Amino acid sequence: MRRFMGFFLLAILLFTIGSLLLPRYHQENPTTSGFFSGDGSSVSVFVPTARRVAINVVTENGKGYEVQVFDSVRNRFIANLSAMGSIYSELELPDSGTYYFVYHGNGTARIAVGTLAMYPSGNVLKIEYLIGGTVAFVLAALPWMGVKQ
Amino acid sequence: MGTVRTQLEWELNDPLKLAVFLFGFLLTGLAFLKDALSMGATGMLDPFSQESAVHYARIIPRLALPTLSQEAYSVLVFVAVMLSSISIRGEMDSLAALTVYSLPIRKWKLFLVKFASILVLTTLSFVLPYFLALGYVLSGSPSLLRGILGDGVWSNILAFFLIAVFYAVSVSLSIALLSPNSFASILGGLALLYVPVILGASSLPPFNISAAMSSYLTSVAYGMGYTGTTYGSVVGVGFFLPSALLAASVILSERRDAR
Repeated sequence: MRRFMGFFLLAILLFTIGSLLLPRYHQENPTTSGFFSGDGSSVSVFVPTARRVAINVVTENGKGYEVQVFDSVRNRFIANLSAMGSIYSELELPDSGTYYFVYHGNGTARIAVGTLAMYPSGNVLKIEYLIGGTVAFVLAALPWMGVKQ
Repeated sequence: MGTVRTQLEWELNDPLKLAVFLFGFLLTGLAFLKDALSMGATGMLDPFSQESAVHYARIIPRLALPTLSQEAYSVLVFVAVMLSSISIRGEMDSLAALTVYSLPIRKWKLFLVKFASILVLTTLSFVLPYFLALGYVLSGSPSLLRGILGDGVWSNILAFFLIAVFYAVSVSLSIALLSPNSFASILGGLALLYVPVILGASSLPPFNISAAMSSYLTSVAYGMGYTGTTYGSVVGVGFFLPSALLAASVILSERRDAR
């Protein structure tokens, strides 16, 4: 079964290298949009990787309002945007997760969240290097296991 | 049982089959990585409160989980067809079968060993990349990953993928058993398994499996309790047909010669 193990570990190692390289060549810039129906309403956006996003909020309400960004995985608010009229703002989403955009103000508003760039976060890279390194080490040690003492 | 086990290890150590396995693993992995990187879901919560936000954040992303995509199915078909052609027909064409069939082991047992080894290789090269890709992409937030795949979601995804693998393997094996040489076996298997994709037939794999998967994920994301109905559309062509083909192939394999 040694050859099988070798091919199996090689497959995981090459897959890990592929997953390190793929985000560089596969860029997507999806835009999602939502609707704030009133004070305290929120729109949630799920993103699989860390990314830099552009946030656009438009409203007919002439008074001031604010939009808070809530990171539900790490359970904390990461940004607080306040304005009169419309907002254009660029923001860093630190890791994969679901982010809530909470509206505090009068009337209704619309929001669009566009992706500017996506990249793996530091944690993801750490785990990929750890697993890839372990697999490569076992693969290098594999020839010794069959040697007769 | 000693002979059967030795035969299984021998089948799993064939470098040609392992090369096909490696190829399939990497290409399926790339397809699923691409799908995992382009996940996305939008929702609304009104009024906002932190507890319900944290609760829904782990459930709604299930809607975005990648299903059986067309690229992944193409690679699956290629791997299943190549493995069964190498294992059944290629062995006869290269005259290795003359040695194998002189072993003290019944022919149907030999066939079942071949089936088991092909099923193991195809399953590993198809199911593992999905969970690895998902794990790598979402590994920055382990609690999110646990929340999305928890509550039996991972086992249902596994079941849908096993149905797809079982279908592809048993159809390609029976084609390999019926065809006169390896070339006909490869061509016939690819054609038969790929025709539903070209025709867009919604009652055959892969489209009925991906449709059942997305309806399952939708119902589990919105908290509908009973999800057994989603298997109704795939059990006929995903379980009954492959099992019948497998039984027919076992009977047929008894009558097959080494040349």
